[in-house]
Formats: sequence, C-alpha cells, structure tokens
Amino acid sequence: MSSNEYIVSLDIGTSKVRVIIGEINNGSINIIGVGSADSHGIKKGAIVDIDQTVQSIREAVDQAERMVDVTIDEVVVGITGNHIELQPTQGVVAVSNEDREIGDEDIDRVMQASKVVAIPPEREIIDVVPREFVVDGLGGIRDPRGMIGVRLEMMGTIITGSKTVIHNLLRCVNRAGLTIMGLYLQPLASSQIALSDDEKNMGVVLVDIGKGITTVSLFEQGILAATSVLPVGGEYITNDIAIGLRTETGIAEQLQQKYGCALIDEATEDEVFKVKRIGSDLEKEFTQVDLASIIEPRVAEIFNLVDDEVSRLGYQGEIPGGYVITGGVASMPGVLELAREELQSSVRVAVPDYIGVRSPSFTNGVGLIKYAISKLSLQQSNASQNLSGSSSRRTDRDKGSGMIERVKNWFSEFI
Amino acid sequence: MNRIDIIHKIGFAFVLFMFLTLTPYGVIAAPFPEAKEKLIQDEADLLDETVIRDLSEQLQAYGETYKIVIVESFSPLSDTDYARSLFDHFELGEQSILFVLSAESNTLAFAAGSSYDSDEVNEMIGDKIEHYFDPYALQQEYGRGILLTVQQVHEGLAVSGERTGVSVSAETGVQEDSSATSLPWWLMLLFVILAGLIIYAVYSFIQRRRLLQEIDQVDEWKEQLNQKLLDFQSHPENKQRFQQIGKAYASMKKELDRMSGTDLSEVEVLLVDAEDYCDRLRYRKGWAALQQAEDILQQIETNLEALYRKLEKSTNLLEKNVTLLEEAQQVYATCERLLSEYRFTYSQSFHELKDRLNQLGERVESLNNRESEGEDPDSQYEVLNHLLQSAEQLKKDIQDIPAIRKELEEGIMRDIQQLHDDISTFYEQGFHHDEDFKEVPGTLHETLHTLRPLFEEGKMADVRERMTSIRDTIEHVYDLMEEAVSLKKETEAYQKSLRTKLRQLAEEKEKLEQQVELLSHHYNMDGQDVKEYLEEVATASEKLEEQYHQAEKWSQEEKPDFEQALRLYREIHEQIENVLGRKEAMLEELNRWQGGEEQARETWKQLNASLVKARQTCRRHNLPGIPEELRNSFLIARSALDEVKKYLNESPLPMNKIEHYLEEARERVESYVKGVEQAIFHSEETEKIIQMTNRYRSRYPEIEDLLLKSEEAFRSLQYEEAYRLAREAQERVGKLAGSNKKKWLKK
Repeated sequence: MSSNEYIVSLDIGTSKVRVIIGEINNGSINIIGVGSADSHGIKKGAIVDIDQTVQSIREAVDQAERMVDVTIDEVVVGITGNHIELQPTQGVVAVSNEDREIGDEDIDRVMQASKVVAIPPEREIIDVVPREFVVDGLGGIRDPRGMIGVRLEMMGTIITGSKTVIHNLLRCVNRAGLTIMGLYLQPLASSQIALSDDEKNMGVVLVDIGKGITTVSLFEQGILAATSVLPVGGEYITNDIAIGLRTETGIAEQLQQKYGCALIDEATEDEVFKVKRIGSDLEKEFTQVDLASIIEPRVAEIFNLVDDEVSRLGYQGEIPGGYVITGGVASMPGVLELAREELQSSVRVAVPDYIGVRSPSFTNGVGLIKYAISKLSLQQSNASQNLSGSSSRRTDRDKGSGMIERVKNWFSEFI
Repeated sequence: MNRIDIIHKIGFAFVLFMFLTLTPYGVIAAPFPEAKEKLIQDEADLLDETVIRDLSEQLQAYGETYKIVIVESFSPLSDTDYARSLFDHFELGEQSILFVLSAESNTLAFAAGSSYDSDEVNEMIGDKIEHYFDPYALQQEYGRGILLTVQQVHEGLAVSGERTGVSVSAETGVQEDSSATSLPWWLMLLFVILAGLIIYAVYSFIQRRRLLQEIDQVDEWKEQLNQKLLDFQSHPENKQRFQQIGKAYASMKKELDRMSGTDLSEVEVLLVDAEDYCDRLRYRKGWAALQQAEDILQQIETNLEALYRKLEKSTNLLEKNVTLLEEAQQVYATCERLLSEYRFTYSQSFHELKDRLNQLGERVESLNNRESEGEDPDSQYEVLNHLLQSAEQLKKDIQDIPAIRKELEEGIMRDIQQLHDDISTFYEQGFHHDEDFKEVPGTLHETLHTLRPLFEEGKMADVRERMTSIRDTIEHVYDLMEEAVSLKKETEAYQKSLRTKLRQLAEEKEKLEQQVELLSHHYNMDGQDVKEYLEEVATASEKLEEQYHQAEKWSQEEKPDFEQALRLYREIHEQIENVLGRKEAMLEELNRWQGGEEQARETWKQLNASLVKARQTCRRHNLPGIPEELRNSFLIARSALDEVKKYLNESPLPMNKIEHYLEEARERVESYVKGVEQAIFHSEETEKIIQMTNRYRSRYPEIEDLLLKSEEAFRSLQYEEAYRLAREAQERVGKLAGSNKKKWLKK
C-alpha cells in the first residue's frame, strides 16, 4: 500500500445513498469527503427503479466530489438482502514457486479454486471469505504468505447472491458513471467497523437496523456464520407514527428524527410539539411520550423478530458476545435500553470511530472502505487511479509525465 | 565557359551593381514620417492620448515654434543628422525648432531653423535636453521630459531675445538724447504749463456750464414754487375756505408768509452766492450753495403740500361740525318733546332732567353762535362731539322713564315679595343659615320707598344705582340660601352613601378574610401585607363608624351643624376610599400567590423539558462522550429541579422558597443547555474541519500533527480544545496553500 491513496465506498440504502471518500495515509484511514443524497428507487433494500437510483447515486457522488475536489471513477459497493447465501467451500493448489514459498499468486489460485463449485445458474459468486489456510496439512493459518509448503488448502465460505439483484446493482453503478472496484457483502464490511475480533471469535450478533430492512448477521469463531434480512426497519416506525398521529409520512419522519424516543420511560411529557394532521389545516399538540408510545412497541417488535431470527438461524440461548446494533435507527434515544430489555443480553451501539462519520448510519460506508483495504492488495492495484483529481495528477507527475502535463498539473493546483 | 554562363555572370554583376548603387537611397534610407499639422506627432505610439493632448495644449501657448516628433528609431542616421534631415523633410520655417525622440534609444534630438542656428543656441538647447529630458527619459516619463525641455528652451531663447531687445532700446535712447538737446528745457516747461492751463480751462468751462445750468434750473423751480404759493392764497375756492376755517387760517397764513417771504428769499441769496462762487471758480462751494437752495425748495414744496392737506381737512371738519350740530339740535328737540310728554303722562316735574335739557339747549345755542364766528374746526368738533354724547345720554335717561317707573312699581316689588316668600319657605323647610334673612325684605322695601322721590325729581342715575343695589341684595340672599340648601343636601347624600360604603367595607373585609383563610391552607403566606391590611381595615371600620355617628348626631340636632357634619363625612369618605383603594393591590397580591404557583409549575415544566431535550440532543448527536463537567452540570440541574419539585409538592406551598429555588434551577438548566449547545457546536465543527482538512495531512506534516492533536482532544472529550486545534490546522492549510500559490507564481 502506498503512503496515501483513496478508496470510495458507495452505500445504497433505503433512506440514503452515501458516498464516503477515505484516504489511506500510512495505513490509517482518514475520511476526507462524504456525499449523501435522499434515496429514491430503493424499497426494502432492493432496487425497484434503476433511473431514480442512478440519480440518487449521482447526487451523492457529486456532493462528495465537490467536497474533496476530485472526480470519482471507482467505488466499492456493499450488497445485502435475503438473496444472499453462504456456502462452505474448499480449494487446494500446489505451491507454484520453485523455492516453495507461498506468495500472493498461490493465494489467488487457491481462492479461485475454492470458487469452483456448483451453483445454480441464477446465482453468482460475490465473494469468498477464507476461514483458514492449511499448508501441507498444518491448519488454522490466517495468512500463509511467506510460508514454505507444497500443498496449499483453503477452507472458507463462498457468498452467493441473486444474479438479477447483482446485475441491477452493477447496472445502477455503471449508469452513474462509476466502475465497481469491489462488491462486498455488507455485514462483512460492517463487521470491520462495528465488531472487534474478540467479539467475532466469541460469537456476536450484528444487527443493522436500516430504514427498510434489518440485517441480522451472526459471527462465530471469527467468521460470518449466518446472515439474514428482516423486512422491517425505521420505515415501519415512521409509518406507525404517521398513522398514529394522522400525519404525512414526511412529517412523521422528521418527528422521528427530532423527537423520537424508543423508550417511554426515557421520554418526557414536557417535550411538546405540534403536528399537522392529514386532511386538516389544524395542528394538534403531542408530547414526546405520545410519540414514544408509538415507537416503543414497533422497535420492541423489531428486536423480538431479531431474537426469533437468531433462534431460527440455530443459535439458541445466550450469545456470548451479545448484540451489536448499528444503522440509522440505532441513533434514536432509548433504542439501546429497549434492546437490552427485549433481547435480555448485552447490547451496545456501534458507531464508526472516524471523525466526520460518527453515526451508526455510516457504519456500512466506512466498513466497506476498511474491508476493501483488507481485501485488496493496494500496493499492486493502483487505487489512486480511481480518482482523477489533484492527487492522481500528482501521482502521474511523480511517474515522470511530460512537461505540458506538469504545467497543466501545476496550473490546476492553483485554480 | 559557355554563353549561358557568361550571361549569368553579366546578370549577376548587373544585379550587384544595382544593389550597391540603389541601396543607400532605396533600402537603407531612413524612412521619415509624413509631415502632419499636429505639433506632436507620435509615430511610435509612445505617449498616451491624454499626455499628447496636454502637451499639445502647452505647446500651443508658444505658437508654432516647436514641433515634437516621436519615431521608432533614428537608424541608420545619427540623432543630429536625423533631426536635421527631418527638419528639411518637413520643410519647417526659419523660426521653428524640431525635437525628435527615438523610442528605441530614448534620445531626444533637435534641429533649429536658421533664426536660431547659432552655436550659443545649439549649446543651450543641448544643455536643456541633458538636464531636463534625460532624467525623465530614464523613468520613461517622456511627456513631462519633453514639456520641461521645451519650456526651458523657450525661456532660454526669450532671455537671449530680451538681451537683444535691450541693446536696441539703448540705441533708441541715445538717439532721443541727441534730439532732446535741440530743445531748451524752459520751452519744454512752457509746453507743460500751457498744456496744464488748457486742461484746467476745459475743466473750468465744463464745471461752470454745468453749475450755471443747475442754477437756472433751481431758479426756475423757485419761480414755480413762488407761483404755487401765490396760487394757493389767491385761488377763489381757497379764499372761501380760508374764511370758513377762520382762526385755523391764521396759522396757515403765517406759514405761507414764512415760505414766500423768508425761505424763497434765502433761496434767492443762495443762488446769487452760487453764481458768485462760479465766477470766482470756486465750484465746490457753488455746488454746496446750490444744494442748500435745493433743500430749502424741497422743504417749501413739502410744506405747501401739507398746507393743502390741512386746508382740505379743516374744510371737511367744518362740514362734519355742521352735521354734528344738526344732530345735537335734533336730539335736543326729541328730548324736549319726550320730557314734556312724560311730565304730562306721569304728572311729575322731573326737575333734574328738565335742568339738564335747558343746559343742553343753551349749549347748542351758544355753539351755533360760535360757529358763525369762525371757530377752530378741530376744537369745535371736539365740543360738538361731547355735546352730542350728553344729548344722547339725556335722551336715554328720558326714554328710560317708563321702564324705571314700571320696574319701581312692579318688578322690584314682585322680586322682594318673592324673596320674602322664599325666605319663609327656607325656614319652614328647616334649613338654617348663620345670617338671618327674615329682615331682608323689610329693609329692601324701605330702600324702595326712598327711590320714588328720586324718580319724581328725575335723578335717574341714582334711581338706577339703588335699584341695582336692591337686586344685588336679593341675589346675595338667594346665593346664601342656596348654599345652605346644598350643604344640607350634600350632607344627607354623604350620610346615605357613607352608610353603604361602611357596609361595603365590612363586606370586603369579610371577603378578604375568607380568601386569606383559604389561601393560607394552600400557601405558606409569609408576606404580611394582606394581614396588615386586614387589621387596618378592621381598625378603620370601627373608627369610621364612630365618626359617622358623630356626624349624624350633628346633622340631626335642633340647630344642625351641617358644615361640620359634612366636613367629617368627607373625611370619612376619603378614608374609606383610601382603604378600599388598596383592596385591589391586596387582591393582586393574593392573585400573585395563585398565579405564582401556576407560573412556577409551568416554569418547572419548561425547565425540565429543556433539560431532557438537551440530554436527548446530546445522545442524538452521537458525541464520543459527554464531558465530566457537563455530566456534573446535568446532575446539578437535575438536583435543582428536584428541589423545586419537592417544594411544589408541599402543602401549604412555600412560594418564596419555590421562587428562589426555581431561579437557581433556571440558572443551572440554562448553564447545562448552553454547555450542551457548545459541546455539540464544537464537536460538529471539529468533525467538519477535520474532514475538510484531512486531505492535506499527507502533504503537510504540521497539519497532520495539529489534526492528530485535535482528534486526541476530541476523543478525550475536550471539544473546545479540539475545535481550536482544528481551526488552527484549517488556517494553516489556507496559509500553506497561499504560499504554494505564490511560489508557483514566482516560477
């Protein structure tokens, strides 16, 4: 990895499309730009209108580009949904190097070998996640690079998804003028930010409560053991508020963000607000407790569904690492306390510890960047080429571009 | 070598010959600009239009002596040769100087016409160029350099020309001297004296002529005035008037004599003097005498006009006097007729009136006689006016006889009788007054009896005066009686209203006591104002009740003292109003207790909402943590609110304590809310700035260092410090970017 390069993540959610530009500076990530646009054309996490989705992506990308003054060409994209399936896989190759030292090429080959499995024609491999490498029968190896051996095996999980869904996603991104640098499973990416290695090893449930869907992911022994998507989220809460207070969805969403509280005990009668009713010009006064009375049951229901889903996935009883909640809904006061109450386990809210994106709603976007760094060999892949801004020009200059190009570069630096 | 080669060589030789022979004229010859009318001809576009315009204006002042031409280069000629060649090329005149500036070499060359073509001039112009043009040429201020040079050259040439002029004038002087020796000095003096005499003679002639003309005019004016005076006296109409005005004419005559006798003679003398002065060539004195004569004539003219006006006025007065006298006679006749009629009707003599009538008749008669003697119209007018007024007064007195008689017989009698009846009613109805009115009608009757002889004698003025006195007395008695009646009525009204007021006071007191009793159960009423007020009301009620009875007693005595009773009633009323007036304040005080509770509960609610909201805001903003001082601030605010709540739940409510603790809680909550707002502001701004400046980290180590420190502070919850560091980094980025831009520009 070079001293400073850029990775751009694209998180297409039901409520927002977010573009985050991360600069890798001596191994650490600095978030240098964020673009966010209201999401249109996405329902329950799935693309239902390509044109509108493309428009939202472009808006978010434009915003991020303006902020950093670069042109974004390539992005890493996250994918999730009920179409995702995890399948164990195994690959075996002979070490190609004459001196028997395992290199990147061997690892690539064994990964490719692991992908040679029979999958239905309507499905497509998204990613292969190595669980362990075995070198000449010696297992439990995380990174075999530089080891000496003849036979290299890899045990892992192959992630597949619906060809249609993946195609729609790629289509949207391409039509927005972007190239996909990497397509990764969202829970895996989020876990990079939200979960610690210990938690993953002990066993933990990552609950990402978005606007349209709630993704439940189980990590055990350091790997993603199962993932599932519940078709409920913040949107359900908003709808309940709209119905309960007889107001428009837009107003309900604003109320949820401004006054929303997931726990009635945490809410106060003294916080009073007026709500415009549907079909009337009159405004009725409500308290935060009224609002919390609507929100709490729905959030509790979501957690009950999460609990059921975890049980359905085969994990009964107490999860050692507990639950980690993230996603936009997790920002609401009282969610944490309610989750603890409902799930009867240790619960915490994961917030990306990066300045500028300190909100649970950014977990996916930041996680994608971090996951991409861990996945890509950035030293070889010229990550900075995905940006044609000042830094890319600078890189070109360092490579010894012509005099005219240099002059152009200098000029563009000061305009 | 064949023929073609030979032809080629010959051709080449011909071309070479032509080149060598024609080049100096065709190719190498310096290209001179075309001559133009302008004084400044800038072929090299060296000077601005404005400079050329200014320079041209300046050069215009020197005529068309100088011409400035600016060319790209003198090459291939030298500067002097070029200037000379250009001078010839432009075919400039003998008295012209041409300055040529080369834009290439910044050299100013010149060429002068044959008039100035001397070594001295050339040297002078060269020096001027060196001193006045070259320094400015170095600064590329060609316009100023050229202007100064031309100015200096012009001055230099002027000095040179002046010198020449001086020598010429000196020669002329020598010639004059030589010619002057041919005339003797006395002859010259004679000529001068003669010339002076001639001038004086002319002056004297003119002055004399003017003065004599003026004397003639004044003399003519004098004659005219004299004629006017004569006309004034001799005019038949005026003569008739003079006779009419009699004594008034005497003073006019005196004035006329003075004007025609003294003043006109004096004018005549002054005119003779003026002529005399003129003859003696003392024109100033002559003019003075003439002026004096004119002033006198002016005065005479003014006086004559005044006499005309006076005569007119006197004539008018005479006519008016005749009218007045006639009026007086008519009034007299009327009076005589009326008096006779009334004397007969009422069988009374009216001696006094008769006497006055006789006197009036005598005066009218005497005035009639005096008019014929030619009395002064002014004094006559005054006398007649006075007479007419007297006659009118007499006429009025006589005319009033029937009315006065009727009044004496019926009007006053009736009024006195009415007064008598009213006094009887007054006493009958129990009204009382210190003054006894019973005797008043009798006294008035007596006065009335004394009026009859006066009336019979015709002393109408006295009768009127006494009748007025009787009426005044009646009026006065009525006023006093009305006062007594009003006093009683007012006393009774007070008595009635005070009874109600006292009852109202007792009721209000009772009500307040009940209210205070009720509130005392609910509130811990530390305030003493209401209780003091209630005590005061109780005391006042007792005292006022006593006073009321006292006043009642005074007003119900056999000889009731309404005045004293009323005074006491008024005092009681004032005290009641005073006590009841403060009731509103006490009610407000009680309402304040009630309102204070509601307000306190509302304030507590608002403060609690603010506190909860601020805490929730903190959580919504995903701060990395809440600083210790903010947490403590929250606990303090919470504790203060709990304290208030505790007191709000007590019964009776300690409102004073509640207010005190509520104020404290307000301060705590506001402090916490402010702290939260600041923390959120600093954290959000820090995040924004760090995100914006993150991309400069790799480029500038100092930015990286500052941002790291800022992040560290941010994570250790020192948001303000983090914000400061982030701002510093942002400012540094601005400066560094700026310095980079400068470096680039330098390159």
